[in-house]
Amino acid sequence: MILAENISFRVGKISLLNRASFRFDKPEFVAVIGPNGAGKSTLLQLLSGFYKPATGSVLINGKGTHLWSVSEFAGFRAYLQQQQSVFESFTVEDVLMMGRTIHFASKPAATDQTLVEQMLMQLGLYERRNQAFNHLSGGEQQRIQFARTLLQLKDPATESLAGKTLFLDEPLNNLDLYYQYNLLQLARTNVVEQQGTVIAVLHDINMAYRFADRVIVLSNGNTICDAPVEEALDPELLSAVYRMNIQKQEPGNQPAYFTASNSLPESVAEPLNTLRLQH
Amino acid sequence: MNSKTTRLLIVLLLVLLASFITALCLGALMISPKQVVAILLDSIGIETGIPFEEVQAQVLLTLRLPRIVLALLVGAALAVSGVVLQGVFRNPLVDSGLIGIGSGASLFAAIYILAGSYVPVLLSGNPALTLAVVAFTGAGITTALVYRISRFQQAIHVTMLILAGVALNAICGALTGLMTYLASESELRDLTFWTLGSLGGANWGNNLILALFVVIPFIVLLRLSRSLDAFSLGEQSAYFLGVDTRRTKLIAFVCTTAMVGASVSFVGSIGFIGLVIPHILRAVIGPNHRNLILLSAIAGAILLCLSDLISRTILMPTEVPVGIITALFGTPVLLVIIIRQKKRLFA
Repeated sequence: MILAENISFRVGKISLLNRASFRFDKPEFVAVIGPNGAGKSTLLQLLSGFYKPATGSVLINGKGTHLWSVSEFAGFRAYLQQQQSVFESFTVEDVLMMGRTIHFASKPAATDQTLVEQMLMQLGLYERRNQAFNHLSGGEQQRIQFARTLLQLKDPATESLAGKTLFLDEPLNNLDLYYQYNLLQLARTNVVEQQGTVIAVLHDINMAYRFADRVIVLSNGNTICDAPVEEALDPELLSAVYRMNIQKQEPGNQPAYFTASNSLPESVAEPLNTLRLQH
Repeated sequence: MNSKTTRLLIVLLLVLLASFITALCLGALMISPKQVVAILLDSIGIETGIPFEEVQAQVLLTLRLPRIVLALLVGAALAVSGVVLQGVFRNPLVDSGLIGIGSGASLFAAIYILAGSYVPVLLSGNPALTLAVVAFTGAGITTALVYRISRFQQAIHVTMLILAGVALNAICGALTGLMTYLASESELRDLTFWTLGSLGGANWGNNLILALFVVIPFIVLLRLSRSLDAFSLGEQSAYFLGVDTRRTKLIAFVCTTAMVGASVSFVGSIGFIGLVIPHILRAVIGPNHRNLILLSAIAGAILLCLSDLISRTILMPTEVPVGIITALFGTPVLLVIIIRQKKRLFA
């Protein structure tokens, strides 16, 4: 369980996140959305213990993030970063095995090997396991890094990921349409269905609408909304946050979807502060 | 360790042995391999019946052997520190010489020697040990400075890193040079020693101290190899994977500065070994740090042993500074690395 209370973060004089409070205590897929510079990545880095908040506190299972040892903490959360490069020529299998870093002392156990092989099969990359990671395409690299984070959370003794959290910072970068769906689907089946929590920064409102149970909307470091998906993805609110005309289309015989256009209607041209700010 | 790495390990050990014996044989006074073995066995009390002259035994045991052992230690230290620094900074261009660690150690060593000539109490105790500690401190200060300058928002900027290294190299070099002119020749060796290095003047007392400064960090660094592997994914990723990145960096810096600092205080700055050896090994055996650290130590020892052999035999009886030899084959490799990086960045 993650409990964030009144957390703020600033770099120099610029405030990146203001007094945000969240509670994540059940298996769910949480999408964090908002314009560029809204503080989405900052929020993930604070919740995952990478940064220490300037004010407030983040408790993981009742214990402050800074009180966990680095390796102990890594058993509770994994994190997929936005941009990643790998120094030198590790193979695909090497990179996946690094996901098991905390699970073995010096040599991978048979269970680690099995988990990595299963993952390679799932990704359809088993034949290419000995290729240099750096020679793969951006999309393939992204899928492997994602799989590495899944491997970090897996425990061979128990299927359940209860109490564990997977942070995904813009996980859909470099992926084609098929793999965008595939990746978020894998996050649901491998984490949420195993009682774990996914907290993902997404830019695509339609993907958030389709995969998330709960949505946090950030803008300029402020929490605009934190609610179940149907409530949070309100076209009027989204139009104001993104300063675009966002409409929800409900064809009736198929799932609803959102469209966006540049013509901002008069009704939402008002600045954001007219909206009710949480907290 | 896979079979390819094991084979290379065996080959390197054989080459090491061959280089060691060759270096013992060749020099102003020639000694045959048989005689080398006979003298070595004789010194531990085993008679072989192979004839040798007393002067040969003298040269071998008091001059050549300590010098070669020194070369092996320093070569191993420089190569291993190169591997580790490249792993932490995630860049194949980083080397203790390039980023100013060697010149920081030189400067502090020179200051200590010069100060000792005015304040003799500084030289009481074990001056060689104090010298090594002082050089280690100097190396540590430059490493910390270069790291702080090149780090911005949780990331290391390689351009800044190298420019900071250039600047620190220049200032430390200038100050060391100034000091060599302030001191009389007997107190402080000449500038060539500090900038291009020399293995002359080796003795067992210094070797013993250097061995402590090389072997202990070497063992610690071997144990750090898995964390260094994780650093390849980036410092943040390594942290999220469960690697204590602050601790890893601290240990890596303390160990490499100890190795390089102590080496520099006894032999001056010898460049390029930390750049060349890791680069070649990475291409051959891949990026696993445990293997890289182990094999770099052996390959670095071989390289400096042979470089020193060339430096003292190529223009006999004159000795060419060993740094000239290492630079002659090191700079082409540096250019290759730069061209490869260019291809990777702009291809």
